[in-house]
Amino acid sequence: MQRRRFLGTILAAGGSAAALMAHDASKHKGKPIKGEVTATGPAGFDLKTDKGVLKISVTAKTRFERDEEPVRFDEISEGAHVTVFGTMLGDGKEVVAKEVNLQGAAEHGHHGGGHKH
Amino acid sequence: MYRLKITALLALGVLIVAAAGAYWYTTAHGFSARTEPNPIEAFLARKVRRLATPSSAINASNPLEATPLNIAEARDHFADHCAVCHGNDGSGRTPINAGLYPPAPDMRGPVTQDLTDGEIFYIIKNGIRFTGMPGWGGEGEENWKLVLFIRHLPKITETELELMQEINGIELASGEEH
Repeated sequence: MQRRRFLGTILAAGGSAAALMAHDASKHKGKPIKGEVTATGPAGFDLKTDKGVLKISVTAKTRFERDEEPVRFDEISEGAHVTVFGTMLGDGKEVVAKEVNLQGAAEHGHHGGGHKH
Repeated sequence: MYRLKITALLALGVLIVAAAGAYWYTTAHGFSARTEPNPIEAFLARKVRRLATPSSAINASNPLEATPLNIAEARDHFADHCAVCHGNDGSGRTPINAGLYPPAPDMRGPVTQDLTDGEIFYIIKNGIRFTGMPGWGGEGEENWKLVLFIRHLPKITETELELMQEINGIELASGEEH
């Protein structure tokens, strides 16, 4: 009985360690940052947040979604409310976005956009 | 023949004295992990670790550049996985490290900064036996990014420390003794 309990403890500890080791840092999306888009450009947009205006940079790897459906970058326009997941650079003023979630219903026809499936 | 006997006796004497010394040291100090390794022990341990590190690992160079994004990604990774022992600033001033034998060094200082990039990568990947440093595995980018961040630690800014604290809640290192 004691031996079984010991083995159980060892297995549980091993499982926890394996889960810890298996953690993939590249999966980190970062803390969500909510705000309103105040300006857009080819490489990103400005986001007005509770803590001030942040520069949001997008890359080829950035994903854009609305209601978990993919959308295009050009669907992000001034006044849009978005949640950004990404990595804040060391200056605390710029975020490189991994994912941008648009809030609210889609404005069909705006920017010639719409959902991209 | 006579010389050989004398040499053997001397060697035996040295061994007996060393064993007696080790016995005295162990029984006098116990096995508490809350004591500091003595300088000879620390020196020898580091020499042995270096000898045990393959030269290919020592000479490996970091394929990544120290871009702001690479450093920032590694900073978040470090905050999530490493800072609980090393502290956000790498000083090692954490409650866990205070009870480790040997404790993790201040990574901003020469003990870490004088290692090659390859050695730091090897330690992250493989850990260090008989210490609290686990081997995290992995071959790729994430470990090399951590090497970039460890190189960046001596010049880490208050803003970066605040960003790390937002992730892990670990307070900035203070001068308090643990």
